[in-house]
Amino acid sequence: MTVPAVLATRALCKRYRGRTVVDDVSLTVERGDVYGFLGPNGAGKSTTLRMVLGLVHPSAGAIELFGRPPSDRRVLARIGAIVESPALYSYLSGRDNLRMLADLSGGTTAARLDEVLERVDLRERAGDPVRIYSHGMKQRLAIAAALLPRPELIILDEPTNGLDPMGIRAMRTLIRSLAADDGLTVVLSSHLLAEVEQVCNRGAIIARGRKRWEGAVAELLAGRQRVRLRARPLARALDEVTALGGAGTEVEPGLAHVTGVEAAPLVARLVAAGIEVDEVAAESPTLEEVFVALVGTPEVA
Amino acid sequence: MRHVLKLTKWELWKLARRPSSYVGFVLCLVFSAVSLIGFEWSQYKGKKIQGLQLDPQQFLNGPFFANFVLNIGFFALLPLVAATVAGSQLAGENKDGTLRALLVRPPSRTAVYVAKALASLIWLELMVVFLCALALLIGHVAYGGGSLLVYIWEFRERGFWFVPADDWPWLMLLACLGAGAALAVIVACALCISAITDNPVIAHVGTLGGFFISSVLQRLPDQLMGASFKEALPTTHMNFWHELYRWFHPDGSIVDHDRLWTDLAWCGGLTVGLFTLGLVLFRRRDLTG
Repeated sequence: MTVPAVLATRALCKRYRGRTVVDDVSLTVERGDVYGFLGPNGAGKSTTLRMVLGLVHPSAGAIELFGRPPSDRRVLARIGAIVESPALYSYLSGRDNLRMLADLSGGTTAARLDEVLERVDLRERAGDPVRIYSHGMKQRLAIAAALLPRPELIILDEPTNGLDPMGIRAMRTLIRSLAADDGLTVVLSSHLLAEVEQVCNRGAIIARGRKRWEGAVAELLAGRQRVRLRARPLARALDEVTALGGAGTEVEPGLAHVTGVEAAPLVARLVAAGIEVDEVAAESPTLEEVFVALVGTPEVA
Repeated sequence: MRHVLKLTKWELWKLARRPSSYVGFVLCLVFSAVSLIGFEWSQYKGKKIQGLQLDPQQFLNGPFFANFVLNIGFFALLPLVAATVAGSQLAGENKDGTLRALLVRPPSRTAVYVAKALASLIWLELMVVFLCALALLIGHVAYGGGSLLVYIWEFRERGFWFVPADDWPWLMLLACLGAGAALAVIVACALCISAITDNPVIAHVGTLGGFFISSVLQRLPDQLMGASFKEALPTTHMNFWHELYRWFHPDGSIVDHDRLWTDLAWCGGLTVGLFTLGLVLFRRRDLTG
């Protein structure tokens, strides 16, 4: 018997008044994944996640959570979610917010409440009204609310938005520990490439409502490894690259990025051809570069 | 059902913890105080009221003042409070984003909607009782106790009558419950508008606008506004609870049952219709805010 994916969408579409904002998006999140859902602002990430959580009705396509449709509300007890900004009752204390939201997810104990508050470093401030919390504290409290019912899947939509650098670092550490220490499956939506690169093992890239890529983040980068080459004369060196079956592009005077050849045979070939080699280095492109190559809009990064 | 009860409990808890929920209670206090000042400055004070041929000393007492405040408050104050409480339920939470936090949890949209409607009605009923009890207290301190004079404009052909001190507490209690039930039309309308907007002000203004237009048209003479048209206005039927006063007539009940059932059918139909429409719209709505 095959274990159903934690989250699967099939050909998901959303149209608003004839405008397609999510188009034929199929995603699969397996148990244990830290899944990065990457795309520029307005790409359709939040709409997709809202459809997954039943906040927005799909125009077409199917969604399964733990093998069940989201219309089976019981499945939502297995999910913790933060959609966009942390949504909390400002006139209630942090602890009262958690008590109420946890009760709607099936209840909790005082000990569990304290444990989760400790986890997000808010135990000392739990009695204060949320209106006096900083944005980072609200974000951590929202995560605590999502964690309280001991979910198996946690969906975080842009969790580091609006946080200061320390807050961002703490949030990323927390997300990593959710997967590593608690064994949670995490779906992390972000427009920050570095965030996905640092935190996620699998992911998808979405742009203008369409999925551009899905798979392991490491494979995405590994499949695009290249050689950084500085040689004189560069034009002759690039001819030799072509002769080896590779391809090279001059990115600045005297410097080329070469793909399709290994560094060692390339050096041997260039030396044999009497070309002066100043620098040869195998390097991986950043996720940002891959993203730009896939999406084609450099300003989004 | 379990979710509805649990949600209703939390909705009431949220209303009790939210400072803005108490604006209505403060308005009740202000309204009662201003009414008392108005009574003190009344040109009828110390004179016989034309048509009634009664000395104010015979009827101006705590229950009369409370009844007056309840009846005037039913049209002047309580609809405002009902529209504000119910209109903020969905639109206000959607605007603040907290509706998302509720709907990504197991309770369904239907459960959330029903719980918000129930909580609004209960809170409103509390406010009606508070207004009446407060007016009773103020009136008792200012004018003392005694029998309750019942003189209601719709029943003017039967004149006035007194309800003895032993009976009027029950009448007032029933009147409070009846007035609260009649305001369910306002709650259903506000909740319905609240289900389709992110802006609670639209729900407040839309509901109150509809209520006041209906009230004004209902009060125009039949020569201007046809009687059959006025029959179709919600406010024409929202006074059904006034029939309770006729239950306490000294000659025994003189309740007009045909009128009562017609009014109840209209109010019930409107309430259920608006409630269902709001629920359908809410269930179909994309929550993008």
